[in-house]
Amino acid sequence: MELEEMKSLWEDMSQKVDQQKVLTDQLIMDMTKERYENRMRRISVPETISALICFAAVIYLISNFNLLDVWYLQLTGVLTIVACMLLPILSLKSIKKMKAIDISKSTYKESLVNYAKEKTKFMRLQKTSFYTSFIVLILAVITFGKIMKGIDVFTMTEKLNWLVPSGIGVLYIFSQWVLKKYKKAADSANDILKELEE
Amino acid sequence: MHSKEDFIQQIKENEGIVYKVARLYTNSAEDQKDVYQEIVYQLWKSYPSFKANSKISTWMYRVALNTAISHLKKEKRIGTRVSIDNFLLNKIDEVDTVMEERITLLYAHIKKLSIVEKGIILLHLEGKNYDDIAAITGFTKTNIGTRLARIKQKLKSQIKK
Repeated sequence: MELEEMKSLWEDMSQKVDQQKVLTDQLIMDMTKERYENRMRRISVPETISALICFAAVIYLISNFNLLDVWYLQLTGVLTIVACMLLPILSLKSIKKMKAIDISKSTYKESLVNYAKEKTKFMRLQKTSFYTSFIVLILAVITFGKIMKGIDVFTMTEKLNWLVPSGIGVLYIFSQWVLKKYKKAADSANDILKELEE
Repeated sequence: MHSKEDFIQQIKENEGIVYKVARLYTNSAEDQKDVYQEIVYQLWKSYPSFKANSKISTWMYRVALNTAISHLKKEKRIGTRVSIDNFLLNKIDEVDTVMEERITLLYAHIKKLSIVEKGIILLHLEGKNYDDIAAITGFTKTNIGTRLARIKQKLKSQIKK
């Protein structure tokens, strides 16, 4: 296929597409309405559920805080409460930021720059959330273990002997995978930015 | 000017733009339907801010291309769609199978280009001049000239293979 042939084929296709008027008034309005409602559902349901779980956990932890009788358990309790309050707020904030983008104002170039930057930022955020979730999980196990079962994990040395190394092992394997994904995304984002500068 | 009827009219007159952009930036039928619908939604959302003194097609290309890029950011989508399946995906198919095969090949060549190049060649194939391409993409006219020459070279060597 020659380039000129490409152009004439494209023109033929455009003509055919233009002739076949397939969109009806109803279909256009259905599409916009459905997408709008779908968007509202998608944002509100998972975010609301996770925020409610987090806030319920905070209330539970605060009302049972007196059961954490040693300073290090109190410290893990406070850190768990802070994490459970901060995580949903940060997530809601990022959604709000995403919704504020006006797609009609940017040029293609600006959108590509934004895409490349967002891609790197998103992967960085995923990397951070991975480590944060791991830490929050450990903190939550310690805190809830004490409150719900009366277990002080720090005093159970025989369990710590295998829990700590296996935890580190799992963290290592997953972090390698996360880093690999991050590098790939960052490289492709850099390629786009480099190409835009040419 | 910005009534619901006007919007519907504009979309109907330019539905080919939505189809062509959605097809270029996706690799599966599901994705194509999703992007198609997202573009229509984004056009509807930004229609009130569209200034009548600028070209409607410039605004449409801009929204369509930007929506296609923003779709690349998103992971797998969950949700429902209105039934737009058959006619949107088999627009040419039903009319001429040979032509559809050639168009599929044409798209395959363009899809091999970088994301930056895809948008520029699409506008070029759409018959846009350098001024229009510059207004939509934000690149300078000189830059577009250089890029187009490079894209043509790339396509030429791709086709030869």
